[in-house]
Amino acid sequence: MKATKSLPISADKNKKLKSTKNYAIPYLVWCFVLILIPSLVLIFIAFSTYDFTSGSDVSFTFNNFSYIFGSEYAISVFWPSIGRSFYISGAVTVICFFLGYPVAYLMKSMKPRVRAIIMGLLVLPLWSNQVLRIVSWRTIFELLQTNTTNFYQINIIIAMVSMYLPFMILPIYTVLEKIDPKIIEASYDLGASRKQTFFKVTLPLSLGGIISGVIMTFLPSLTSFEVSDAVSYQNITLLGNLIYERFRGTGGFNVGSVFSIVTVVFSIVGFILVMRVDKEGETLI
Amino acid sequence: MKRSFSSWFLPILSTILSFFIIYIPVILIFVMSFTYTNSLSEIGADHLTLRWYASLFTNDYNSLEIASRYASNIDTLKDAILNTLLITTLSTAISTVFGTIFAIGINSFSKKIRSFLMMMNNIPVINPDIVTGFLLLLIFVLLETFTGLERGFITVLIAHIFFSIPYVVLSVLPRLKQIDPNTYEAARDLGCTRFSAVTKAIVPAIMTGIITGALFAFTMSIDDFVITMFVSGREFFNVSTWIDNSMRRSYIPKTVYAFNVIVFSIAFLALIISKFTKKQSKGELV
Repeated sequence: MKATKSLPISADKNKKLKSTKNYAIPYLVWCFVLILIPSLVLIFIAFSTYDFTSGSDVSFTFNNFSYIFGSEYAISVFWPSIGRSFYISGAVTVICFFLGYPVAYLMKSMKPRVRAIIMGLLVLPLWSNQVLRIVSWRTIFELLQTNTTNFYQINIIIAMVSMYLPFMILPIYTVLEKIDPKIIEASYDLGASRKQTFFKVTLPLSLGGIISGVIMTFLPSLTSFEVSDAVSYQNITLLGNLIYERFRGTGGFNVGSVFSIVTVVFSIVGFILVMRVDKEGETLI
Repeated sequence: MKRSFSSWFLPILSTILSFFIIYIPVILIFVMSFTYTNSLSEIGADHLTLRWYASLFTNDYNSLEIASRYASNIDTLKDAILNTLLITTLSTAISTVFGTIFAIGINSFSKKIRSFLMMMNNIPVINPDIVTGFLLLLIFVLLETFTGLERGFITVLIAHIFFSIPYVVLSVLPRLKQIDPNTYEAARDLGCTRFSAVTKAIVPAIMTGIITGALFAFTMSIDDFVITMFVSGREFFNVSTWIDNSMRRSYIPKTVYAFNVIVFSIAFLALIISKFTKKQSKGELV
């Protein structure tokens, strides 16, 4: 590193490390094998009668899809579960945003050392096993005696907020930290009040982090199955539970794949949103 | 601009509330690891004990007054702990090395191709675990059909490496962008081999990114539940899937609480030491 400075380097400053390009090729192959191939398999079994576990005859069918649109099951179980999942994960995301944004905002105004400590404390709970944390929430609801039918949904929301809140705070903080303080000062110099500065300058500039945070909270809570299983004693069925059931029971892979495709559609929407504001995913961690 | 207390009231209140809701289960796990009985209703009147900690290090459960019907359950937990430590160590080491190499490769491309590669990289990060788990399950079922490789240790290891690498790439790439793009060429001109140009010139410059990436990989792997659940088959357990399995059978020996507190304490101490001994550079996570 030190030696390079004193040497006359003829190469263009923007020239990239050309000869290290091939380091990325094995990764492309790896992603191809582990993402693209199973995605094709997923589509294949969603449109066929092929039973994965026993290896039956293959024939093309739309039945797996019509199962989630026309059947009794679709009306009484599938769509209500989707609705419930959206309601719960929507609530979780909104609560996480209103709780988390002020935390990120406060962190940004702290001294670097205090910031780092708060950041550490936000990541630290991830070192406590997530399933055990969910079980602990169940214990808390049992102690509070709120483990009854009326409270199941609210209990699930509380437990999920506790699980996913750090994933809302961290991307917002990453973006807030990058805002040049001079822009904020300029806003004050031009006569804007604190409130105006926040809503017209800071908030719009942090939109990228907000979108990443919303997606990183919304998608996991939309598809979570362990929280609802544990906290509602398997009484509340969410999208994640439907997929999980299909995978546990034998021979349910075809319909399970259809459920997965429905989930993938939601996650593609999220993916596109994140990629629009953050091409290389710098706010994701 | 004068900052009054009233304008900070809301952020401070939010922060207190946030930490409260995040830390409640963590604190409860801590308390429960020291209480004697397994029953929750008696938690107030319970007396304190270290027997769950002791049960991690001995097989003589009778002397700890742990009912013998729990013995086999605690034994399977110990297997699960060993599995977790082995999987996490291996997957962290492998994904840190390969994630760094891939990040160096990705960084050498033009912006357009780099964005495409990062999109591929970010799929497992954004995709919900349940979909990633399901997709990996499909490929492993295929693998089983063609090669007879049963789901277990190997498939879990591959899955953990798969979801860890993107975090390493995401941590290393910002550091790579900061270093001089001619570093590699210069090292080659000065007589480095292709290998030593990377290890001696690039790696030291991006070390903080690599360490952050490794910590991410470790954190994601030690805690993983959903993906492991899908790809582990029916006989292989890590701590998370073991807890889930025990929960479904309605009894969880509190030995696992003790294990969890030990892991958490190590992380906590590491955090304290790193925060109070060295200067914090910008953008470092842990």
